[in-house]
Amino acid sequence: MTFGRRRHRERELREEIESHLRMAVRERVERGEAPEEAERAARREFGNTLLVAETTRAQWGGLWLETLWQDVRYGARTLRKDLGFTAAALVILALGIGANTAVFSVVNAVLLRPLPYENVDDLVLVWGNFLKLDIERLRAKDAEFADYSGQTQVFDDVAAFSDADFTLTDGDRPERVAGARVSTNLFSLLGARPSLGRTFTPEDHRPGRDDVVVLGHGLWRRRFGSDRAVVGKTLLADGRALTVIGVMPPGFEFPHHSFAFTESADLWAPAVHPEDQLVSRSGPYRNVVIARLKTRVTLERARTQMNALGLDFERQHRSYRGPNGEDGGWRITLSPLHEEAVGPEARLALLVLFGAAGFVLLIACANVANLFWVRAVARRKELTVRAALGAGRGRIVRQLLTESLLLALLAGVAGAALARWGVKLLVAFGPENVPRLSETTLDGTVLVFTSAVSLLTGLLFGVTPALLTTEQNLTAALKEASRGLTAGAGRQRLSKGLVVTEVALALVLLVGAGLMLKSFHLLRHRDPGFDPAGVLSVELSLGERYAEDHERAAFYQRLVAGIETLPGVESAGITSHLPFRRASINDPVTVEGRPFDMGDAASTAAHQAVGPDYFRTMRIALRRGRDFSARDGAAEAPRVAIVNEHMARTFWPGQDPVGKRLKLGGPQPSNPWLTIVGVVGDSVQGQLESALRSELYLPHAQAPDPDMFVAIRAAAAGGDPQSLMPGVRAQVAAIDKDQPIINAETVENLAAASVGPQRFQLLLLASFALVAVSLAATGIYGVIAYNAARRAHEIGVRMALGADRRDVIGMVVGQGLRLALAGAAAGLLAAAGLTRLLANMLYGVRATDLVTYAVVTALLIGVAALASYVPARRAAGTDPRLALRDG
Amino acid sequence: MPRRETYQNRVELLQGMLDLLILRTLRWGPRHGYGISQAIRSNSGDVLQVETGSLYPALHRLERQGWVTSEWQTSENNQRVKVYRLTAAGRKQLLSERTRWEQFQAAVAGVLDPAGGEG
Repeated sequence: MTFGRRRHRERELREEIESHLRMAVRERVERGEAPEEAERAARREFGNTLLVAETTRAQWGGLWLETLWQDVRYGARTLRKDLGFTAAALVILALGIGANTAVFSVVNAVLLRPLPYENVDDLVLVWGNFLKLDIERLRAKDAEFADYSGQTQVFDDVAAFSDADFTLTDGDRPERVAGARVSTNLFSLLGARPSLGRTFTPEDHRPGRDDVVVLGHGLWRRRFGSDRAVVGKTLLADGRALTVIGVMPPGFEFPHHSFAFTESADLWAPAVHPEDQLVSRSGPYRNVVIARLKTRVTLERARTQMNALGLDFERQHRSYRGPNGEDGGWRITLSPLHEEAVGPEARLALLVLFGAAGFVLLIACANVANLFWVRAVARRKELTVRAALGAGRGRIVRQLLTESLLLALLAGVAGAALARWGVKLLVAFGPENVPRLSETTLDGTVLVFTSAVSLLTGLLFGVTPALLTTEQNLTAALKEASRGLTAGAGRQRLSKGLVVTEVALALVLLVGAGLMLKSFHLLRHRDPGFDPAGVLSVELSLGERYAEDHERAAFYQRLVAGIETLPGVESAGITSHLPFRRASINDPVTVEGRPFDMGDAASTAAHQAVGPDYFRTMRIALRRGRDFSARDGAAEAPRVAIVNEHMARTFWPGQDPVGKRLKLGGPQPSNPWLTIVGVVGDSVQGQLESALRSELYLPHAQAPDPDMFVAIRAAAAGGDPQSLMPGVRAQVAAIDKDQPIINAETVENLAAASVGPQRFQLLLLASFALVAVSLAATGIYGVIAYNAARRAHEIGVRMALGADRRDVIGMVVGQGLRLALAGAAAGLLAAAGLTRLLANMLYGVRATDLVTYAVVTALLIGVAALASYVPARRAAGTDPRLALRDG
Repeated sequence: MPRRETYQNRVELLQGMLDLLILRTLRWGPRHGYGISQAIRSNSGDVLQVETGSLYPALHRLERQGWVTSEWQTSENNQRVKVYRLTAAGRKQLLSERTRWEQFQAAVAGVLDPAGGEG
């Protein structure tokens, strides 16, 4: 029904009623009654015209929309009348809803949004594991990939890719580009099609014919200026000319940048599997295998099949068992692709934040509920009169709820705007190593979430006050209402209950934030075993041009020597695995004089190759023996190694390991004995929170890894390591002008970035806790102030009877403290239960750390006391005579 | 609160009866609302006095259901009145309401005066 029609009908109805009355009056007058008497009698007999009109209107169809619109207009008018109240409620709610929306956007982008491949739920990665050796997620050898491809009962298609770096040399600077060598069917398996040209055919994989590439969109834009005629053009990489055969569309990315185990590729080349490696099952573990499950095959069934296949491998091939047939725990595992992007730690962290935001919203709702309730009590008179006029209780409740929902929806809009701004901040200042954080946007899903949360919020804070303030007993209510601000004891309980809940929730958040703060502090100040200040790290990767061992060793020797001549450099050293950048994996170790047990995880060590001055540069203490030196690079030099203290303690407890011998790997004769020449202090590898473990160091001259980090310590304090870069770059170019530098970063920045996620989480959680405490304090203030005003009469009496200011203040503050204590008690119980969830994220702190709990509780009580003090002072300033008079 | 509950019960029970009364009254020709309420009162010997709070909602409901139509006319005194008239569907409804009323009567009679004659 349109509004014009509606008004017309209402007018007609009024006219109909008037005409009825007219006729009734006329009949009475004709019967002899006096006109005024007839008028009165006719109206009395007719009854309540408004009520009749309303009941009649109720018969009209399409009414609920009309009523709703009426309620909305009425609600808007009421809100506008009391702008202060409306503004306060809006701000509180907008903060709560905004925080939730922002966090949910992140959760949506990182956890919920599916990866951009066709039918992503069917995609799995296939990994090899030697569980007994603590070796997990091994890539596949070429032969293993061939075996996996044959599993057609469970897989529709199986593809593989491996990391491949390309050094593009046809620019002013050599640029290292991350790429991938892929099997023919990778693109079709992902359901991706090129935007230009084609992807690979079996022809392209033949050795010698594999000089073709497919470009990613970004690389095409950067290096070819989005030239649409790029197909057929060539790219100069590592001395070879590669022909461009296709370009992928803008959204496509594989491997996805969120995968923790590899980098995203800017171009793709065909994988080549040499025949001999297939037959002999040799070759590196380099293929990441991705498979698509057949349509009705469950992950369980596929896993069972792969377990059987794993057993087959062990039976048929010797390489899956130890030299004496020991069980290495070989298993083939499948991991769903969408789990690769986010590890369980990140998932937990996000959910904790989400929960925290939810708490903040609940507290905001409680606050606004109190506000609404207080205001509804003040409107009692108006509401009871409406009830007397015939509006049903249901109608009034509906109208009050509409008002709440209207406010909540407005707050939702404001909150969404806040969230948009907040998300920009989150993405800008968030750590780089939270995968997919950069994809956070306010999309449709998020807006639906916001609307749902707003509606729910409106119901939450609107329903109880609405129900409680519609009075049944008319006369009693009118009498009460005319006496001023009053409320029955039951209603008081609601208000206090809400505040106690707020305090409890705020305490839980405070405890969480406090624990994380302590944990972060301990982590950040952990002694890493070396001195990261003033050290620059430069990452290099020698390509196929340095095929010979001695070429690689020589390159790095010359580089270090050259860098050490630079002014401003104190020393430089190389390592294959730099803390915070790359961690080495465990390998079994054979100790001389002991039987080799491949299944014993305790007899494994992580190994890395380091240069002579590395320990000195990093200031890792040398405890025993000597460092590597130039003579370890001599032609027939004995093979040596250095161990760290952890390894010394584990393998040779109570003895001096210098002089002892060991083998890296199994005891077979082809494996050379290494003599230990030194013991160094333990140092952190991997991330800052990693545990210390056994480390075995080999001299680079004897184990010339092509991919190395050069650690360069700046001379003297205050030297900015980054300022050394031009000199370093010149040194590299002097040795090999086509050798790119992959990365350069100060070790201090790496250390800070390593705890980036924890810092981020702490900031957010602390912000939520702060907001929660402020809201709870406001809640306490509100209730105490309201109560004090209500009891003004009683306070006046007390003061007249001799109570002084201090007594009054004590009474009022005491009330506030009682509320806070009740809330704190409930909060402590809840916190003790809930913080268990945080246990995995904490470093060096237990989830039940008493000190944190105590400090935080004291803080909250203090805030509560302050919040009660302000109204207490005002109450203590009451003039007893005025208060008594008003009673 | 108890009063309202019985009222609602009464509405449910007697709504159909009221509709019947109105339709029946209109059978003898179109009338306005006041006229309908007067007709019902006088035809029932002053026993049934239909409250306006029931009459007008009933009239509007009947019109929505298509059993009556209304139009504005000018009365003898040059006043506007809204006059209701039975439709063909309304006539049919009248028949079925009548049957329902007679069934109701029989049911009540059966309760008050069972066939066994227990009184």
